[in-house]
Formats: sequence, structure tokens, C-alpha cells
Amino acid sequence: MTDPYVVLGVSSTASDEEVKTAYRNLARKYHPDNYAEAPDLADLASEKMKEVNEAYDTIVTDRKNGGSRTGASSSGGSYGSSSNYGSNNSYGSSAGYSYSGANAGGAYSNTYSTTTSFPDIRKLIMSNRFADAEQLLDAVSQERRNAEWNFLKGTVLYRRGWLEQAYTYLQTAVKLDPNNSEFRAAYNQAQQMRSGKMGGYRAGSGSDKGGCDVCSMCCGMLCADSCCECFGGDIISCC
Amino acid sequence: MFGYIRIFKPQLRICEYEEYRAVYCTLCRELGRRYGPLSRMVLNYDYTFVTILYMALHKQSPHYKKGRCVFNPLKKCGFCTCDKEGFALTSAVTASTFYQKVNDNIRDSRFFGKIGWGIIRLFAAPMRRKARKNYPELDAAIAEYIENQRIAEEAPEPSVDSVSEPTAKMISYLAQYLSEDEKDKRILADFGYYIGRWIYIIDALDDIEKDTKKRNFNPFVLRFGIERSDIKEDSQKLRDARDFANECLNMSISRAITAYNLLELGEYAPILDNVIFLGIGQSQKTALHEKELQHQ
Repeated sequence: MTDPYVVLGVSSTASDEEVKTAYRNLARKYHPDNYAEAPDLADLASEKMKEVNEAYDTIVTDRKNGGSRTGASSSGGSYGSSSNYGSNNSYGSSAGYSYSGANAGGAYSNTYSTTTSFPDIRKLIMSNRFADAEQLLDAVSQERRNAEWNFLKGTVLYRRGWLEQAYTYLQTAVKLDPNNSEFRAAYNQAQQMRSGKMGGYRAGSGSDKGGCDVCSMCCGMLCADSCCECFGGDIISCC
Repeated sequence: MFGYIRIFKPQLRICEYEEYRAVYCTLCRELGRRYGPLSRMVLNYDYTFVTILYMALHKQSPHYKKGRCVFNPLKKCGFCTCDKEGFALTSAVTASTFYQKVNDNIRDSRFFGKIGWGIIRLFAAPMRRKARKNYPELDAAIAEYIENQRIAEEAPEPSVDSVSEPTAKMISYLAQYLSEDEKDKRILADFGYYIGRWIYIIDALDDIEKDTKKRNFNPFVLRFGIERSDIKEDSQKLRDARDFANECLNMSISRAITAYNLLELGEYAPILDNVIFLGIGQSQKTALHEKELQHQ
């Protein structure tokens, strides 16, 4: 087996805290949610995930048994069992997201709404037959194109790489059925990507300069003022 | 490829920067050796990134020797002593894309432009002939891409997705040449697609003003209906178009990053990470609102 420390990218003298941080970063990187929409890479990601989980487990067990570093035990095992990194853990950006890490092929788990009007199309998407799925979707008559139709159309386009049109369809799906968590989760993820949170440039955030604009200063002053008032002092006398 | 994929220098360690420079200089020299001295002029940072990616995927360890720059004999440069296969590949792509670009410009420009580009083509043609001899499939793929680009732009209702696809597909195809490993090829195909898409979109974003003035095709000008008057007064429409383009870019690069994260890059990871996580964002920032910085 490869050296678990190499897998996590830390030196063997790293502290428990460093190991944990390295593990967390890698787990976030290879999280199945990131690869839910890239089914052709999902199996590679889950392989990596497994490797990282195993490496972390090995280090934690070794350190516990060796007793060289007390405190390692408190960090506990890896997140989820190594084979199923479920989407309901703390990194899941989207609770109730209908893809499950266990299905490395990017298949839908059966958590999606029981009342699907397009079971055959969902089945095609599940088996990565996107061209066929798209053909069926396009054949659906105008009046049957509900929120779910928009969602599925968006999903198919998204996987083909047509991100802009996919986004428009997801938007429509959420607008038509705002309460559906499946649609919302997919839409939220796309929105996060667009905002530049996962890479690229975040316009107007000023985050690269360590942002301290007028708004946050006022806000800070008001907070400080109310804190002071709690203890009998005052910064801003008029409020 | 237009030089948008570059490093973010302030965050690079000096040794990494020197390594990057060395690859750049080696690529320049290899280009000169293989495709004549004029081909050195066409070199840009994108190809340096690609070459480093090739070296990383082939686990070539970086070894350098000192040499002198041809353009500036007083300057000393590092040159890689490793296997030159990666450099041969990127040189060929550089030569082929340059020729096709010149050809495309001849078709697009007016009388005097045609003459100017025609002269440049005299120099580009022999470069391309050599590249075609060495890598016939690559040259064919690039020629096909130019054709598909034309078709996509002339199609009814062109969208950002449809017009960026030819570039995306071409880069996806070329990227697969960077490794022999099947797993890597799968990752590179995906990575290449979204990087190609990103390149097309940032080029379109960068050209909004120019394309509006010259009435050339531009997906953002078309989508937002930008007129010459919008450029002069920096209207809301123009700003909306830029913000929208930035969102498109973020989305593309996010997808590219998910693929990129799966690659094993070994000791080259810090340089490549710097490009992907910082340099790309910086290029977007420059294209969005710091035009003046580019010319410094």
C-alpha cells in the first residue's frame, strides 16, 4: 500500500490537526457532490475518495495504537464509511441532493420525488444515455413541459457541457416548482459556480483585497454600539 | 489559444517561477529550431502551461542548464534538458493554430488587412507544412475546428454554448494527446472541454468593444444587443454583458477544476495550481475591468 502520508500530502511528523485539515481538504475536493454532474469522472473521484479515507483511517489507527500522539482518538474515524460517502454529511453543500455517493456512476438514488412524470427519461439519464434522453425530452409536447421536464432538460444539457442553456432550464424548473428540493439543490450548485466560489473571479466581492467596505464598517460600528450598550456604555450616542 | 492561461506571479515561489521561465525559454528555442525563427514570435503563455502539464503527466523531473537568450544575448536563461516530446507537441500546435488563425483573419478583414495577413501567411505556411508532416491528426483537428467555428457562428440563433463548443471540442481533443494513460485521457478530455470553453468566452469578453466597433460576430454583443453608443457611454447594458460573461467563465472553470483535481501532477502541482486557481481568476479580472493593466 502507498504511504498514507503521501496520499494526504503531509509529512509523517505532521500534527493530528494538520493531518485532519489535509484530510478535510481532500475530502472536500473529491466529494461525490462535485462529480454528480460529471458522471464520466465520478468513478475516478470515488476511487480517490476511497484512497484518502483509507489513508486517514490508517494514520488515525496507527497513532492511536502507537500512542505516540494522544488526542488522535478524539478526531474519530473518517467521514462516513469509506465506501459510501453520503450526501447528508457536513460537506454536502445541498441537503437532500438526490445523488448518492455510493452510486459512483452518477446514478440517481431513489430519494427523488416518488411522483416522477418521466420515469423512462430518468432511467436513460441514470445510465448515461444523454443523447437518447434528450431526444425523448424534445418529443414531449409543449403542455407537458412542467418543472421536472425543465430540470431534466437542464441536467442533460449540463452534462453535455452546455452550461448556459442548462442554467436557464434549471432556473425555470425552480421558478415553476420552488419547493422541490431536488431542483433547488441543482440550481443552487450552479449558482454557486457562477458566483465564482469554486474558482474563477468573484466580481465585486473585493475579497482579494481583504474587503472592508463602508457597509461592513457601519455594520461593525452598530454591532459594537449595541454590545457596549449591553454593558452600560455607548459609542454612537444617537442610537 | 490566446495567452489567457497564465501564472499569477505574486503567489509563485521564486524557484517555481524560474522553472516556469525555463519551460517558456525552452519552448521558445524548440519552436525556433523546429519551425524557424519567426515562429518564436507566436509563442504565448497558454502553450507553456500545456507543456508543463505534459511534463507533469509524464513524470519528467525538472533538470535545467544555463544558456543564453537569442533575442537578448546578455540575459541568461534556464533550459530544460529533459525529453523534448512535450515541446515538439506544443510547438506543432502553435504552428498549426497560428496558420489557421492567419487564414481566418484574411477571410475576415478588408482590403488592406487582407494584404497584411497575406504577407504573414507566406511565413506561416511553411511552419504549418512542417507541423502537418509531424502531427497530421493534430493539424486536421485544428483545421476542422476553424470550419466548425464558422458554421456555429453562422447558424441561426447562436448561443454562448453553441459557439464556444468548437473551441471546447478542439482543446478537449488536443488535451488527450498529453497522456497515454486511459484514465488521464478521460480526465483531460473533460478538463480540455471546459478550458476550451473558458478560452473562447474570455476571448469574446475581451473583444466586446472591438467586435461592436467592427461589427464582428460576438455572442455577448448579440445577446445583449450592444450598440456602438453603449461602448462610448459604458452603459448598463455593457456592464450586464460583462457580468454575465464573468458568470459563464466561473461556471466553465468550476467544471474544469473538478476534472483538474483528479490529475496526479507531482512536483509540478504548485505551478499548475497557481495557474488554475489564481492566474485564471486574474485573467478574468483583467478582461473585466483592467484593460489598461494589460498594456503595461
